[in-house]
Amino acid sequence: MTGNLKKWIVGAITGMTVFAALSTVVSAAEPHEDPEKAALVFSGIALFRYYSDSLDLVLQKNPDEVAVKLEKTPFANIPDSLKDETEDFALSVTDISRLIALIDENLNRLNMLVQQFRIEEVTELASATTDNISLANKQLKVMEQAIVDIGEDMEISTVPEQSDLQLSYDEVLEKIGLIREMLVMYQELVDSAVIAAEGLLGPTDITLEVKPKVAFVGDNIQFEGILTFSGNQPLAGREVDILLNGSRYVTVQTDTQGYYRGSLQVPYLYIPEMKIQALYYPRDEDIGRYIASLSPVIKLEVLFYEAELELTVEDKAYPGLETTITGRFDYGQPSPAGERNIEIYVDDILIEEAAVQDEFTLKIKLDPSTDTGKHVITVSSAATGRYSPVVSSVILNVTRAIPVLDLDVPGFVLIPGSIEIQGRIYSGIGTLGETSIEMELGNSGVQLVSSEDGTFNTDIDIGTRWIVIGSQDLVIHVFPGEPWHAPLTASRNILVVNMLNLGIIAVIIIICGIFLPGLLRGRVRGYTRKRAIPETVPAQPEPEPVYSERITAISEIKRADETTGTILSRIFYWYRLLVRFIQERTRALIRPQQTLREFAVESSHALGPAARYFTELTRIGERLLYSQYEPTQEDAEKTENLYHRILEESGPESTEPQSAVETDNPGEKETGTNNGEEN
Amino acid sequence: MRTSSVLLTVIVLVFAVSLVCVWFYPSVQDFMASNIMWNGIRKFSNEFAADNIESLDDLPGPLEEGILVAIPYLEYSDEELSRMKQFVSDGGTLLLMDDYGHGNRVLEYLGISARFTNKPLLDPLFCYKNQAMPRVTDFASGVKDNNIDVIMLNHASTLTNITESEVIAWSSTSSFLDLNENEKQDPGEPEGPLAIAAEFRFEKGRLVLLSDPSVAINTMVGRDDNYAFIDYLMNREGEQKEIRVDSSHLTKAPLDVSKTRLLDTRDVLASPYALLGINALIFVVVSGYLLRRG
Repeated sequence: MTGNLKKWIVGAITGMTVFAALSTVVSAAEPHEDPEKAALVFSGIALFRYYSDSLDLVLQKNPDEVAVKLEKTPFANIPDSLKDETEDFALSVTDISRLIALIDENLNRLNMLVQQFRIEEVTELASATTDNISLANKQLKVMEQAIVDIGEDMEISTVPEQSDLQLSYDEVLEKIGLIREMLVMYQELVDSAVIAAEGLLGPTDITLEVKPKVAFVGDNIQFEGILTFSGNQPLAGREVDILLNGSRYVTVQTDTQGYYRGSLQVPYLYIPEMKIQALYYPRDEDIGRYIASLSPVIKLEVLFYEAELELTVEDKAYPGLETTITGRFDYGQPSPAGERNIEIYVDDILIEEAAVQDEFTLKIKLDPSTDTGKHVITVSSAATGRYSPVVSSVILNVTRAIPVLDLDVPGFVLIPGSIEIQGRIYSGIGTLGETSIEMELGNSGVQLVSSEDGTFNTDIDIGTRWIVIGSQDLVIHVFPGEPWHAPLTASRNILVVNMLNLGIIAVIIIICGIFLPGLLRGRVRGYTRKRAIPETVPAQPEPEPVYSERITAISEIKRADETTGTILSRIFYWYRLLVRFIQERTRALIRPQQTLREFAVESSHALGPAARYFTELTRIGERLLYSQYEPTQEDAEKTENLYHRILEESGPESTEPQSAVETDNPGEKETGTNNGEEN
Repeated sequence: MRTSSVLLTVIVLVFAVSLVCVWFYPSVQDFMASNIMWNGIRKFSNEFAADNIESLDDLPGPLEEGILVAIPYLEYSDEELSRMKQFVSDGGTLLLMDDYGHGNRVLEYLGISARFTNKPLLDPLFCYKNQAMPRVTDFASGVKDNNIDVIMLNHASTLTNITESEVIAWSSTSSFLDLNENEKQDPGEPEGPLAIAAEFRFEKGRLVLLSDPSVAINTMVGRDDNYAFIDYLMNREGEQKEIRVDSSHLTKAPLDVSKTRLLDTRDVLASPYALLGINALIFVVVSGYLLRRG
């Protein structure tokens, strides 16, 4: 049995190891590398190409794109040795792109001024534009130097001429050259505009007066002035444009004295200050005779009611429910009476319009499908009359209320049987009415709907199952019908005791307790006997029990010997006789777990010098018991000889066994005597 | 002591030591939650309190808006795809992170036109150390509001068949898709900006695609704004949504398989039936032994 158990253990371990180790190892493409150990590779070609693209944007006069593009260079893979140069390049390109855009805009305006014969403005603007061109040229040199330095750092002179690196480097320098040419062209345009303006005659002068200089939006103001040329000569019947912040607003005509006057309404622009100017420029026949003139700037202070809108919303809002928005217009002074129309947007979607007072509280209902998370609530009020428009936004946190489940569940349940579950479902914003609830306990489950007040009461029938005793989770899924409540999954641990299985196991254990020991004892005895008596050995020398004075066992064996009469039985006959002799002498017994050899060692004290013969005899017996050795006649004779020697050397206390044998089986005496005579 | 007894003792000892080693020795396999080395996702799991699942059967039930992170390096079966589809349809969020795996099979099953190109995205200029680790700075509006300026990829791929409104992040203009995988930009190869992340509404749920799962590995999740970006993609909005990482479709080494099976075995042995059987076996063996001893 022990051997089988070992085999089972070894087999089980081997099986588990193979099971654990067997797998299909699938290899995919290399998904990543360790950044710490990654090789550092810098691409000069990529850098030059990126710079070339940036310069294209400069040439396209797109400064915003240039800025966006170059502000990302800190994230580029650029060696530390080039950091200064790349920063210089990025700054200079950003500056130059803005300057070129400005120069281009100024040139357009210069052209317009020249066409209107506004010589003073032409001169002023031309000077400013020339300064910008000069500044741009300086930045261009910085940019070029940065590229040259980067090229030197990369040892660009050593690379082949047709290499990608050399070509991309040359491309950048080429585009720098294009920008330089463009700046030269700009300077020429400025110069030509000045030359064209200086060739004109007949300077004019125009004045402007405005009353009042402080006005609300929508109010009318008066303006007047005089247009003259060559000192005090009035220019009659000429059109004069009144400019508001540089744009023509109204046009009036001078009278015979060169005077002009009129009124204008302050536009609803809600800016605190406006610049008013009067402009005369030659038209029709005046072209080529007079130079345009522009009056000094008159600043008009514009009044209007400017408000700030303070908005507050609730900490949390719920889809499908109303939420409160509170607002207050703050004018910074005693507020004007009247209502203001407001529009309320949720994430740019108009959901409500209302007319409100300075302070208002409104409830808006959120769409049930509104996603949870942050949403922007925007309240806008359009300008009306003297009231400037106002827009204000606030973040609204939309969430769903987490239901709270009060559950009354017993700590344990006996099955087969049922479990009664009571509870109440609610949340921080109220009860959950008619909520769908699913409960599962192992394979058993129930579906129900809670009452209006959120309470519920149900039983779960639990049939028999293989469990004996243990804990199981009662899982409860709550599916609220309202969009403002989040679903909930909760669980409770319940001790489940299966009375049926427990009873069966108890019965089995009791039965095992009663019958298993006997059954095992019988099996063990049979097992021991099976091992101790090999099939080739007809009889096993059984030691005489110490408590028995009879020699029944030996007699039985002798009877067997008589019937068989084999060499083997003869050998064991003499061995048994000797054992009996030793037992009588020592009162010792071969114990069940004792081997023959151990018995021989133990008996050696009693036998004295004759012990060596007994040891030899024991070995003969073991050899016959535990091997396939076939005994010979010689072995039988040797055995008998050893027996007699032991008796002889054991002294006067020794007794002839034949006498004892004769008492049971006289026939055995003849065999024993014959054997003794032969030796 | 007999030879067989010595052999048995040695085998039992070796087995016991092996079990202890398998249990405690950390995995070194890519994307394993138990892997504390550079290529594991232990940090990700800890930071986001993500649970690993070995089967899609462990996905939450209907109406429970959890987040499933899938790295499809092994192919999904139709049953698994059906389960995944149901999960998203019911309101869950699927964060599908793939570069060279089987993500397109998932997209095909879900009926989404977008595809992973499964080709390397290289950026020789905007990168960390080399072009295989591109840095991404172009995002859709809303991403930068979450303090995300730059993210770092690692041997990433790209997305295709996507409308601009669906894209969350693009690679730089200096990037390109290395179609022939020769690590050089050749004529005809798509140039940046290329989409690397996108978001789709799918019935009640969300599907988020990211063409590089490596942003989640231990050595990457803390670089640049990768953590914030992953957080943005999962769009938890402050709610305690359950995050589950599907580790059943990752390539595994024998150690990982052994770990998984050891856990399974522990679970099996912890069941009442197994405990009952073990007790019965011990009872029989001990009884037999004692009886034989007399």
